[in-house]
Amino acid sequence: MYRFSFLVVFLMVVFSKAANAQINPGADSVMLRKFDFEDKEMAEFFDRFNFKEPVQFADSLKPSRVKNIVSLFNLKDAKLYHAPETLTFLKFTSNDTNKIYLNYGDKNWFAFAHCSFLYHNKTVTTDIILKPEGDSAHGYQWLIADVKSNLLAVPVKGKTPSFINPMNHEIGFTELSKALNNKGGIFGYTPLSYHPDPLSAFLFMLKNGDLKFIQINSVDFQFLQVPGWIFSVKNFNRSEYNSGWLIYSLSRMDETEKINYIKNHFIN
Amino acid sequence: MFPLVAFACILNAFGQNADPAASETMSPGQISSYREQAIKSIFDLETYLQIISNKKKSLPQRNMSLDLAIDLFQSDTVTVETSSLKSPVIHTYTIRLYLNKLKLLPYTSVKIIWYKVYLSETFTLGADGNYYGTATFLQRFEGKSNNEMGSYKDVTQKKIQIILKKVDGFNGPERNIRFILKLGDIKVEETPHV
Repeated sequence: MYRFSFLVVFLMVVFSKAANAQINPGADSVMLRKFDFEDKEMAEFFDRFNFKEPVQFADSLKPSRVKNIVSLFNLKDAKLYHAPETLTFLKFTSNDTNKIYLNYGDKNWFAFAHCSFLYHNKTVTTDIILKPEGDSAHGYQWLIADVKSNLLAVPVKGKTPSFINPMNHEIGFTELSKALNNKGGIFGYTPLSYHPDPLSAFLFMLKNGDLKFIQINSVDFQFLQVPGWIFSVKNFNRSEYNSGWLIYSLSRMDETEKINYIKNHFIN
Repeated sequence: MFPLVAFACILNAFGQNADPAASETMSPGQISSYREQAIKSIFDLETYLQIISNKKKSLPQRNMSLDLAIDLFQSDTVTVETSSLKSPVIHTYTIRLYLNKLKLLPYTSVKIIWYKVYLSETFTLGADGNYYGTATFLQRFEGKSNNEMGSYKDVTQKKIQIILKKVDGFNGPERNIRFILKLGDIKVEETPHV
């Protein structure tokens, strides 16, 4: 363990120096070298993580899986790469006997498209969560799994109970008329078993033209397929060797927590 | 020079149909055989861009290159993102509009060079039966002008979607499924100062 820790710390220092070294973009040869180092595509992220694409980071360093995975971290974040969890993660994933590989067909990875929309002449941001669905025989596609937006947040039930009296049907639901004008409290009139579905609301708003798409501002990914871990990847667009699609967040998460996390965050 | 280039490109366009696959899916080896073709298509597009933007070429030559360039793409609804060091805004155009804008750029001479192409080995089968991959490349753009506009140059990192499009047909009485390589949307990744 000590030797491994030493190796990882050494790699972190070497790579973080490279990461912090600003590239002079005027120099073509340096740009080309940056192009080689950069994790340009998610497919390349998978290949490097799986050590399918060994990367030669320095002439004196023989390529290895742990070096590849170290290079997939945002090495400008000292807190991330000094964290003991990072070391444990590296040891676990780079140990080939654990057979930790990422594949496109894995069920537990998701994409977040951070988007801007126009709603009643105001710009609102909305995160669209996508998941790959399919299998290797029939092909894959990205599907919209869920949507997160302040626009679709369910209001907390007010102190004044929302109430339609039990005999109000006899007089044509006069209290329903009042309820339907009570915009702020409308959710209070639903059964306890009611779970709002933000995705449906979002799709209807788009379909009806209430919500107009402006642009996708950025995309990032969450990976839950490594047993015991969750990590997030985003694109670091910078003139440095340590750039492109990199891990910026890593936490422990057991399999039960993952099931709840997916249920609460990705499946409405 | 131009007729030769055009002829070679037309041959290439026919060549894209020359490797029919018998089944609806391809083995990794079969997919891999399209890699060279993908790189070739990318550089064919670069050649067309150079001709389209070259004001010394005749208008018919430039228009023909424009049509040939569009033929390389999956459809004319494909979009191209463009960026400039002069503005943080990224513009998106359909391929035909982009190429027409390129043709009309107000520079006396334009040089577009694509280099350092990275093409992942991964082509993923889509639920529509086509295979999808991505290539990343660097583009050097140089526009020279004698007027007050001055000269402009940048190096941009771009990504282009590569599509192996399934074509279902018949060869005589037998069903014949083949894959044609087409280019898809182009996205700007980065435009650093040069």
